Amino acid sequence: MKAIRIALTKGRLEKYAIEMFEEIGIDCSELKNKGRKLILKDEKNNIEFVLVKSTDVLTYVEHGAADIGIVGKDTLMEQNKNFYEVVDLKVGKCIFAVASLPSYKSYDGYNRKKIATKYPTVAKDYFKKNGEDVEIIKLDGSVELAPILELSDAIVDLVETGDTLKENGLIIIDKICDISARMIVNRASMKMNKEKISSLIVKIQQYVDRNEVTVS
Amino acid sequence: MIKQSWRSEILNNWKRHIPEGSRDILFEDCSNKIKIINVLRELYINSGFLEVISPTLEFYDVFQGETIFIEQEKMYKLFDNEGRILVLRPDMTMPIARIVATKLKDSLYPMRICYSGNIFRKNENWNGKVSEMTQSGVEIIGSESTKADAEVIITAIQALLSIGVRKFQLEIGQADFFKGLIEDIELDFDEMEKLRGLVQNKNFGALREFIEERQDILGTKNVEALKKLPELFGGIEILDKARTLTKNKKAIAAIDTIEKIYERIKGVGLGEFISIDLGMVQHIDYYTGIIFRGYSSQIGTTIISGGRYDNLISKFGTSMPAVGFAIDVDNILSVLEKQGNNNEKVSEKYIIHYENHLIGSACKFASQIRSKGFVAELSLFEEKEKTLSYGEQKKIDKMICVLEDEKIQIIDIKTNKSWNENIEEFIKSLED
Repeated sequence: MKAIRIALTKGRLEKYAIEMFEEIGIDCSELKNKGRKLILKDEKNNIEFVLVKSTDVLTYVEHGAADIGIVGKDTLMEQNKNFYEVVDLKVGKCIFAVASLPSYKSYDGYNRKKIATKYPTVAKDYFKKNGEDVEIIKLDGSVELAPILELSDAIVDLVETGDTLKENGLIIIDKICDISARMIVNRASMKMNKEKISSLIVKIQQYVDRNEVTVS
Repeated sequence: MIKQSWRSEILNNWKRHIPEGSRDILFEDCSNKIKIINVLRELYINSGFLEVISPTLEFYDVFQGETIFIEQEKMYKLFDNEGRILVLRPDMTMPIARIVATKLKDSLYPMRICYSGNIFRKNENWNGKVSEMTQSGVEIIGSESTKADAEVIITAIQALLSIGVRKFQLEIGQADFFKGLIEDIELDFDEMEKLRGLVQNKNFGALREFIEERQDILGTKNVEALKKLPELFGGIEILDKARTLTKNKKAIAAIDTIEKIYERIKGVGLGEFISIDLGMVQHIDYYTGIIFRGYSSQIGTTIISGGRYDNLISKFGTSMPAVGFAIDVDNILSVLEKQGNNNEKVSEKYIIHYENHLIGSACKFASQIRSKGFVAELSLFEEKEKTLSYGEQKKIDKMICVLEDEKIQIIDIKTNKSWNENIEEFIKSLED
């Protein structure tokens, strides 16, 4: 029997994911002491984990190289790909927002606004929906710097606590949407491996519901 | 000298490359692909399907319209000399609908049509996807009967079996089930699309929240069924479960249709390949009845897709019901490769060495071997040693030197044993 392979996003979401999988009875000891290994197994439950970058989670799952993925909604929104998005894990919460210096006005003369972002698709869709014609500049990090150095008029970025914005004198101009971690499933895997994957989904959904109750 | 070659390097930058998303298919892969296409063609033609070839270049307008689901960004476009927009066809069904509605409108119906050809879609670079794909498929035009639905699905299963796909599932849904459930619901287009998207992506939690938040608008009718819709997939028993969730006539009729079709498929003894997914709601404006998708356990994408689209042909001016499928031949090839279908017997190969003046008997001899179903190639070398070493490297089984008087010398390349025989005796021995 082929193992179920789960691609986890490295970093922030990794911790949440491990906690969750442990809670539903999956042995994550290899995952916690991974050393240099790339594929981390739970032999008893016949599950394999791989740790990859967020955008790669989508690629692995779309091609079916991994059956299941744990990834942020931000990555899903930026990349238009095909799979089932089965559970909102309600962790890793933050928002997509337009931010800028307090002097920013959304309708200010006829000049085309420049927007710096790591998420060009998200930014493009947002301004398209608002009927604003903007120029998007793709950056790979420290997007907050762009309006300060006058590279752009505003930024579109993930905001978790807002501390980075505040420290740099930026404010949120508009909230675009809420973001949290999601569980995604390859379409063929869902069908060819229904029993195992469905039972995982149910367990994870129950875990999420349980946690939500205790939080609120 | 150096300057010259540097110049040509710049001018012919891409001379030695192919575009991202395209590929060369060589030797064994090529033969395997063509073999699959031919096995499928034979199956279709023997079942009474008539073959068509439509042009690779079509007008953009053929693929344009409300219910057509190919985004324009995905099409390769160019202009003809009158400035009209052409596309490399992104789909095989739409051209067939065009042909049926124009050239074949007074023909005898129902009509069975089959095709194999390449379609073109632009994909993101570096995504591991190809932009030129081979499809092989059938359409039954002019029949509304579930007999036609069943025949298409049965043909699909037989097609997959005939090319050696081992573990696969064909999943059936029905567009009218979802359409029935949302019949009495008043949501604007954006909201409806959101709802459809949540069902399509099996977004269980978000769908539940979406429905609960809009309790006032959605009422109570069919709401439970909508909430459960993404879960309504699996074995045939799903239909009974679905039946308890709604009283909507359209939705119930949709379940009845699937049941009817399933009974037929089971009657043919192919029931084991069928599963159900009532949450298949993609391209809901395109499909008007059954929808099906095929999956293999070997790869993560669909290997076949199809369904009933009774409104498509009318977009081209003549109204006619239709149902069909397309097999993705390239995906099938990866499935077979991963399955390791090596049970085919490889026939012996011969290389024939001859002196120039014996070309007549060498050619005749080679034809005799070939007619017995073996591979025989004539050597292009003058010296025996070169022929032998070539044969060795090419993993040919035996080298045969043509001698005078209908005699031959056979050298077993693996064991290096050699012996003489008559041509007649040798050909006879091939028969056993």
